[in-house]
Amino acid sequence: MFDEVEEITVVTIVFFIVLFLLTILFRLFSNFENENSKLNDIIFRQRLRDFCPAALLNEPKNDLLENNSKIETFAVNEGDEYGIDLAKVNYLNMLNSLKIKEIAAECIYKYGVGTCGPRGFFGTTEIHLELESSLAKFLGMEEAIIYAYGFAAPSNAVPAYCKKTDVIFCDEKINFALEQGVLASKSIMIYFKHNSINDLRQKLIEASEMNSPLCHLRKFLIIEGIYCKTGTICPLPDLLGLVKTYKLRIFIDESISFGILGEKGRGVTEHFGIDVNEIDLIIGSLEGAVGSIGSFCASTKSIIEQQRLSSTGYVFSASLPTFQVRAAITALKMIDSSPEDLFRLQLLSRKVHKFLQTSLCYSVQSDPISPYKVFNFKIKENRWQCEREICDYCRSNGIYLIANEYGIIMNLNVSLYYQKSKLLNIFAVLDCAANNLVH
Amino acid sequence: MATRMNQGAGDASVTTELLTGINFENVKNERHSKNGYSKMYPNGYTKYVDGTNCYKRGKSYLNGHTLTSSSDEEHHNLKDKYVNRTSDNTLRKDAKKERVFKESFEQPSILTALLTHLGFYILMFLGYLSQAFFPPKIAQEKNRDGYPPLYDRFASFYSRYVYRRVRDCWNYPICSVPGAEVILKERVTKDNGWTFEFTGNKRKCLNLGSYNYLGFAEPSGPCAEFAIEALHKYGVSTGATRQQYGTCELHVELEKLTAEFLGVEDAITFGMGFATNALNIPTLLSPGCLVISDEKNHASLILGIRLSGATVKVFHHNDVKHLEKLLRDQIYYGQPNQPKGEYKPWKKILIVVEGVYSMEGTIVRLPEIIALKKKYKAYLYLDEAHSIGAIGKNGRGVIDYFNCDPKDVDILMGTFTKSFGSAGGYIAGSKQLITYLRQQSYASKYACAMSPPVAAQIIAVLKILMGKDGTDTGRKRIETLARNTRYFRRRLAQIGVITYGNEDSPVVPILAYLYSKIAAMVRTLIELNIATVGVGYPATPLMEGRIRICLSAAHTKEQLDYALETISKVADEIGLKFSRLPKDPNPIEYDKIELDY
Repeated sequence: MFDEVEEITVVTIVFFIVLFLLTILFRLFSNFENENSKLNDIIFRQRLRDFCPAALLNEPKNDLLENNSKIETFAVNEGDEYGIDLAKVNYLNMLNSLKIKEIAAECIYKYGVGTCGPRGFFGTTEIHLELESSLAKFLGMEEAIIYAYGFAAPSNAVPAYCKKTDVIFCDEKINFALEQGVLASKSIMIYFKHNSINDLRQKLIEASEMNSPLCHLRKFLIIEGIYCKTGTICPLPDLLGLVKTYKLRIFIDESISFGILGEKGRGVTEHFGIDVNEIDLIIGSLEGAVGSIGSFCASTKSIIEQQRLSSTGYVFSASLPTFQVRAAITALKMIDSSPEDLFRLQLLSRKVHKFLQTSLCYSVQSDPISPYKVFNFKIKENRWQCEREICDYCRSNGIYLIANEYGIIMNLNVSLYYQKSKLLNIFAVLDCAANNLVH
Repeated sequence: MATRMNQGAGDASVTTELLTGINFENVKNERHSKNGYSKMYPNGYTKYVDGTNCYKRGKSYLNGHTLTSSSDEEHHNLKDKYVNRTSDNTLRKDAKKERVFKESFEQPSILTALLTHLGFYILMFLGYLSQAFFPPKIAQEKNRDGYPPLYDRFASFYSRYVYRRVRDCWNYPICSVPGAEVILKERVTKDNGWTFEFTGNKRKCLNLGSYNYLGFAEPSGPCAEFAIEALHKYGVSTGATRQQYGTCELHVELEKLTAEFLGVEDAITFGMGFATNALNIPTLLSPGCLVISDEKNHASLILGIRLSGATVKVFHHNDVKHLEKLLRDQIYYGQPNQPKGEYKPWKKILIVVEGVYSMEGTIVRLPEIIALKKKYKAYLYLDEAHSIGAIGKNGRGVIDYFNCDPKDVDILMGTFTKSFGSAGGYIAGSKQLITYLRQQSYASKYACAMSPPVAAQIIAVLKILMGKDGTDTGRKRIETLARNTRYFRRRLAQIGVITYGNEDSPVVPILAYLYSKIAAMVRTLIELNIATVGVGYPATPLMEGRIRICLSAAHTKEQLDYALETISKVADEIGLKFSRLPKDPNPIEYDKIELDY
């Protein structure tokens, strides 16, 4: 009995002595290092003197100031009868709805403009909760979470789940916000060719081989409903086959497709007749068909709960102003109550698609039923410059289009369905613009 | 009495040494021997005179010093040259006025520290026990058999078995404007925080939780009217990016006014404050650049820096000495991982700081940081999310507070969420910078323009603050906030709770340390109709759990008195009076508080 106690005592004492010695050694060592790392004063002053930092702006351009007027373009005046605004994202004409404006104004009378706080700190109003539950109900999912900016959900939801030790398979054409999200997650990124099932399968097979370093990591698949860069719809049923085989978590960004695809506007899942519960996370935007500000994610309760705690753009950012929340709720109700508008929008989209397809000068990238059209000028050389000129020509004829690096972008508005003359005008001007360039 | 400020006062003289080339010890000696340069106040504050004045003092010393102790000719010349340069360009101009910088970080007793750790471990232990006996109801996912779990074990354990116990203290839904008073929608939980049910009752509380510094969160009045007018005219959103037909007249007017308000050449605004940081920092930096960031910087800054791909070094919170050490080291060593013997300097160095830190209640040591920035040829990014509108004589943030030149800060960033009762953020600076951002910023290329009513509210507030509406309401609000802040902080010091931060910062953290005490405090205060915010691990260090109070110009003296009485009572009950500093025995009179502008 006593022997044991003695033994334990001795061991303890020895342990502490060793610990003590180690501490001293560590101290000495770190001191020694400090001595070594002391700055040489003369060299330091020389280096400070020679230090010539690069300019604050990454690529200083001399013509910056001259181009000032061209950087920003003003919104089209709504009162202009002849102007046709195809730059504005206003598929279901929610932005012009008087009803929404009135309801939003009432909301300002009750709640003021801003919320003065993040969601956790008295920035959650009952209206925020109402929007979250109506979004969840609209999509048929358990829970939704809203963000204060269209950009915020894609760029913050991805890093809330994907970490350094995960693999993300994403389409090479994912939009900029998602790209930022993938970048922020620091996961291993694997891009597959745009909408190419075979390429994705190939990459999945490679990653799942037993000797691959990625074999045992969690795998995510990130795609878009309607791609912002091309206007095409993702081949969801085929992708889901791969998702099941390779046990991928699938996140869909429906920033554009939410509210316009499917019979009732539920998005790409309804379009293909797929149960939403097959999808791990749906990311959507309130700036598309809904015509407000903000974005959201929808999924099961436990998955959303994770975001509420660890998504920085949700936790540390002020919540969405209440009148915008109210506008979104009203718009959702309107989408629900008038599915015929969606039908008309799809008909209109097909009509425009047909025109672009049959046109000799344009090649269209986007899907026929997408009201978000991306098309290119067929002549290859100096295409970008030509597209700019086409847009300029259209603007001078009262038709506003966006030209960017992916082509010419056109956001259709359902009200054009009734205005045949305007639609014909668009076609005529587009034809004319192209002809001017060709000849 | 261990205050961090003690070291802080030393910092100032160290900076002085580096600016002027005087021996640090000399300054220190003078400081103590001659005329009590640094004074200790009974309430634990340290009087501290900012770097500019230290410099003046030092100058008389300079000649003597250089004559006696410098033997190396070349070294001497270099030093002299440098001294002349700083004195001509940077410091004299700023040295208009003396600002007393009172900041306090009282440390708790060892017993409190021990109890805090113990309390946390008990909480964790109980959590594990609870997890073992009552596995979570919602852990099973449908359709996902054989998948690895979506989140790591510890995070889900922590949120389910530790955070859930105090979940009711956050995310309280409100059903009114978050003004001086706020109406909470009462809720109860019948299953220990797993779910909540609304009782249908409403509770009117004094609002000490919202960032409504100037009280502009109002459902009526000129600002709301103007916002509604804009809503009818322009709609909820312009539906496009700034570069592609999303700009309206309000945006242009807002940017002009913001630039005028801040005294800079130009400004650009964005729809979300968080995104302003996260999307614009990457446009300014690239790999090979160095960011030196304060350890308490906001998540959006950290995200922006992370996205930029630049290297980050972190300096201790508001510790100018450490910042200088980092700067020296980094200039000396340059970029790491170079071939042996080669030296490659950083492309550029960006110092990122905030004006008022929202969790600490501290105000950035701007004059010293500007001096350092100039000395080491770095750039400065100042995030004024919590300081714009809230401090300074004209509400122009920390630059106004310290009477600095806005041109000395390369990038001025801020948000309109807080003092302006709106949403969104801005970046202000030179014409060249803003034009560059208009062209290159991700936010103006890809993100929706600011909502017109939101912009209208900010314009209306800016006009009031600048006195353009023909009244002095703006000035009065700024003064009321400053008075409220000093009154509240002084009374709290008398009560004997430990508060952090600068005496002029409207963010007042009251230290509660123990996790359970944070929750108890928040709950009891809501019972007594005061809405506050509790912050604990992991948002703060384990040892620094706190209740945070945000003051507002909308609070009346009576409301503050009620809050103070209640806090005193509750602090007695829960045991929060940790402060061991001597207390000011004289009653503090609201009307007699001096505002040293």
